[in-house]
Amino acid sequence: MSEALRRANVLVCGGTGCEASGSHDTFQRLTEEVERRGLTNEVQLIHTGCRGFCAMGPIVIIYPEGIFYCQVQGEDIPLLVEETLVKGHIVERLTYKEPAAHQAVPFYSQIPFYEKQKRIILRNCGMIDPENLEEYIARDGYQALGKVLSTMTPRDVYGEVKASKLRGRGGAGFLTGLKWEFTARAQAEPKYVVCNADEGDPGAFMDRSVIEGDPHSLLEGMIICGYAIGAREGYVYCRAEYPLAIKRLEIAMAQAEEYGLLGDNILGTDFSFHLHVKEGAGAFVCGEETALLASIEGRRGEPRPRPPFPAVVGLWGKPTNLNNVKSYASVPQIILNGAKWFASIGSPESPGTAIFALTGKVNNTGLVEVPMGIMLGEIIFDIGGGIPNGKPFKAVQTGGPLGGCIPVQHLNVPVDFDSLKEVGAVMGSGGMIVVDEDTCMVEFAKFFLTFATAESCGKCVPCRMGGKRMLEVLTRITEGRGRLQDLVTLRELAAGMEEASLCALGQLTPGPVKSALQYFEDEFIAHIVDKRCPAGACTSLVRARCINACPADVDVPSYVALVAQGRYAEALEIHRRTNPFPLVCGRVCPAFCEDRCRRADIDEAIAIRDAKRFMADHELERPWTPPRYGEAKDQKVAVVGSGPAGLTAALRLAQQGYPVTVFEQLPAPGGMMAFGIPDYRLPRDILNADIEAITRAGVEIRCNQALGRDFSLDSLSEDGYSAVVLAIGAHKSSKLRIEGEEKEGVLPGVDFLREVALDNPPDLTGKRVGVVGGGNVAIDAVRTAWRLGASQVHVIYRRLREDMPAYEEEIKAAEEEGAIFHFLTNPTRVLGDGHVTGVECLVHEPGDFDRSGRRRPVPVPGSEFTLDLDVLIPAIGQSPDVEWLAGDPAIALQRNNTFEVSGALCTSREGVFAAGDAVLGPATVVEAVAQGNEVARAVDHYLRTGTTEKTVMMPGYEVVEQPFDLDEYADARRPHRPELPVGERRGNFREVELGLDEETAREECKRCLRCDLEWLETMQLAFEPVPARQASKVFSASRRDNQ
Amino acid sequence: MSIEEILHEAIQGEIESYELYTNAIELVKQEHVKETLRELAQEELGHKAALERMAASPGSVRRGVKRLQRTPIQDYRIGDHLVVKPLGPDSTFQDVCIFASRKEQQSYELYRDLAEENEGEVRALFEAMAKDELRHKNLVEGWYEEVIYQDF
Repeated sequence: MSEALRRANVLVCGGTGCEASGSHDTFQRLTEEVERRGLTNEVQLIHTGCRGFCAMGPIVIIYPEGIFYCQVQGEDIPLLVEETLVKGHIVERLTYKEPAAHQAVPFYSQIPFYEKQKRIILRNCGMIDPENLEEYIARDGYQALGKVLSTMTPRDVYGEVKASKLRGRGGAGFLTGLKWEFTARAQAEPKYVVCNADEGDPGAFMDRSVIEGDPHSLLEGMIICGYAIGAREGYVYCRAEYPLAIKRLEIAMAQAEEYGLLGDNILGTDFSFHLHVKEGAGAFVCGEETALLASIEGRRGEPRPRPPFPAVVGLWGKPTNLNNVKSYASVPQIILNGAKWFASIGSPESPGTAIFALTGKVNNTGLVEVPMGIMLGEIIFDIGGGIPNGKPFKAVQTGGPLGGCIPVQHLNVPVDFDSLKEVGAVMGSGGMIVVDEDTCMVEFAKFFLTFATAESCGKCVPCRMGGKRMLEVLTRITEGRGRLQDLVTLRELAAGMEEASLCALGQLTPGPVKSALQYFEDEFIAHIVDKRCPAGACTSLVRARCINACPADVDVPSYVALVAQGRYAEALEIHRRTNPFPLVCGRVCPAFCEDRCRRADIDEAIAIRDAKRFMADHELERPWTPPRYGEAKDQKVAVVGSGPAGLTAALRLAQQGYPVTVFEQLPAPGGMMAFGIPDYRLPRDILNADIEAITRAGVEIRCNQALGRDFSLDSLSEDGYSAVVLAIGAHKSSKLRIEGEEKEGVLPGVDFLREVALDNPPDLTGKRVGVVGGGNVAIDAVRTAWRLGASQVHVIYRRLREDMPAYEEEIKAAEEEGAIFHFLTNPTRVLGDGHVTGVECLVHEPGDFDRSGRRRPVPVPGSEFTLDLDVLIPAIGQSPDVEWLAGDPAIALQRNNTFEVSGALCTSREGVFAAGDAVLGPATVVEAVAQGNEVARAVDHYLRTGTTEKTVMMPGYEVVEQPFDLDEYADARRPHRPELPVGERRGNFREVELGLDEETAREECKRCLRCDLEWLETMQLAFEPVPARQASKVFSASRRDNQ
Repeated sequence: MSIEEILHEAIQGEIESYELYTNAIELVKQEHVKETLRELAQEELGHKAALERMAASPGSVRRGVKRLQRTPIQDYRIGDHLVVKPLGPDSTFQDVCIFASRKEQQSYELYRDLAEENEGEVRALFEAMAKDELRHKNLVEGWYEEVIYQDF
């Protein structure tokens, strides 16, 4: 109490997370350095409890300035002491960097992780030395106890807690004050106070951090409870795996006893209260209150039916109040500040704060305390800093292994007991595990189910057997042996367990499976029907993540391995088996494969697209003639549209022996590849080389043939075509529908790009061009307008930059080429008298979350401004042009005028199929290619059998040897992709990306980790190639798939 | 105006909206546009049923108003600047969304203005009804964002 004031207080986090990151050493080195520099009398060092921001540990905070240093290792200490403690400077290298702009945030009060937090329970964690009672007292510690013992009756105390509406933080959310009242009113004696610190959820460490960082707040809450209910004795049931928590608790108890705050005649009153620590052996079921009490009594930790509840018949058959650590730790603040204060925080029915252990795929992992009712998305994005590597958020599991998952469409849900329940999850004790697209929700549910099943005590049959049966079913599904009936079985088992299990463990065990089924049933079906794990996580179904990620199932590791060995023709042959556009995709593919490349977990993904481009370019001089697989057939097939879907379908059908004619309305084939993607990304001669190979398979392409003008579906039928594939793309720009859009100078994005491709570009020399939109068409229009001589090119986009659907590399290129971006801006009116002179815009700010997980723009009142323009290019979206249907409902459409198709890609008209953008909406070349392959199989099936059924192609594989040592490439780095300098791009359409040279491409391919070979070993399969095979009928799907 | 009268008028308004959308179903050609109109008509019916429940018991009014007061809601004003076309045989999904958004906007503004002119329970009821119209507007504008603003 009599410590002299020091010039600086240095707080070193000693929470478990920081300890694991080396904070013990940091503190030791700091102590030594401060002594060595003779600063002991000026600088006070405090080893505190958990500060929460575990991802950034070890954390050091220096007061009075509040300088926040993170990831401070022992070797950083001399610099820190010299610069900050001696000279008063901030060491920028040790400051927190804001992830988006990488800007230093030197002060604790400015760290976004803490900004939206409200620390009531954790108020002392990271601020005081948890092993020093005086520090707790200095921050109002034990004042609440003093107030209770000196001015309040027991009834006043539980009345105050009741009025605060504090709900049990263990997860169930029962009113704490009411529970206290029940126990207080119970007639039997003695009574007990028990704290449940048996925190067993994987990844949860809330209770542990409270005890480790501020043990006295728990003790004070328990002593107050003892007074309120008339108990003289209490137990803290803490799992033995928390040795630091137990140690600090015991130190705190000894200190409290020494100071007369615990034990006999507390603070000189008649009230006596004794506490004991009971170490639990780690059985998860002992988190259940009756099992916990049995364990304290020395019996096997098994639950018993309730009622009677512990408030009436508890420990040793006596009235017992049992609460969670956080509930007790909230009480002193409620007593000090009043029930009204507490009730004013958070949501009306769930007041106060909640602590979450935020873990998983989120940038800022750690412990967060937030007001109840905060939006889920705020925790994940504002506090958690979003998903690493900019990947999309997929779901968050709350409530631990007995909780449920919440998907992207519920990011706006208020986080409180009742709202989470409404969306199928639970609050639980505070675990929050974030997952991204790489997590398979079937596997995820299986993980939790495995845990809960293993932890079943076995006392009741529904829990003991139900969990096991569910696990068997889930295992079958993840191994590709599932049946659609399994989904019914899972739901039935879940209902049975919920209904008939003895305790909450059994009743809640099905939770994760149920919520995964509720929100991600498609993933279950993909495993069962398509034998595919969309996330690329289930080993049995995923040979390599890159192959799994490729919509066209291209055997990436095999061709990459062949390129590494200089066997380009063989590599190309493998690629063309599932994708006949290697030249095109080597240039414009978004490379889904690279997004999932395992090498990226170590350093950077393999440059797969560049390798592909190299092998395809290398073989340009040896034109490919596609092999014929089937006998020549009589049934003719018409394909309408010559984009990637149409041409792929045509090729595959021609390879099966069908005479195929492609009808193209424009003067040249290629669809959006020719008339949407500008030449500087995809030169026409390159595109034509891929297309010519398709014509060599016998495909006839008739240009300038428009559906509805030159022929109709009826005329095709009359001309003897047995099947039609509509692959007409999505060539119609959506209108802005704002006032003035009809003015001269408004050029729809797709039309603009098409006119340029047709060598009929508008004169943009010296003009100010505005492009509305953030997709690839918009950015293509921006870069094209700049090449055509526009003096200014503005991009008007109503969301944030990170929300733009366009490829990142294209956005960067547009920035390099001088485009002016107006984010969070929406055009409201086109200005001008006959011709565009400008556009009136309204500024927005990010609001809550929409179903895509992006923040919805909200208009800022009075923020209108005018942008002076000569040309406006709306590029907000595209849809198929279905004018030729003239409203005829014979072919059913969806909301964006794409065709409604069955699982076999059959439209509502017999014999008419559809594929590509006309089904998917605007998509990528490789996705269109995949649909081209799929629709060809469906048409073939239809022509052979007269029925339409969804079939599944089980891709085959090669086994390419590995003739070099991977270890030699451990330090090799992804090469830089050469590009045409920005200064040479203006006024021409020369290709910007330049290919890799041979040596670089081959060396790059040697970085591949060969997941395919590892998979063979894991699956114990022979190192032999397996041909592709079409799976037999997977599920009944006759005409329109019986849907 | 009494609470009963307000609710009666509002129920009549929902019936008229339902009939407007139902009649438009017969007018348009494309099945998916008809389906959108059907959904809109169903929304109006749902809204009508909620108002009828409120009219049936005063306690229900208080609960309904309280529930809506708790629900935060934001006007994104997506449809506010868009040009409305009358519905006809060739109406598209985009046409229907813009039409419905404007219609909901008008109802929202009507109730919002009435709330400002009143006090106490009546004001609270109008505020709640305005919120419900805004919720409906947001639903339609959410569809619009997903389908029309793919790249925006």
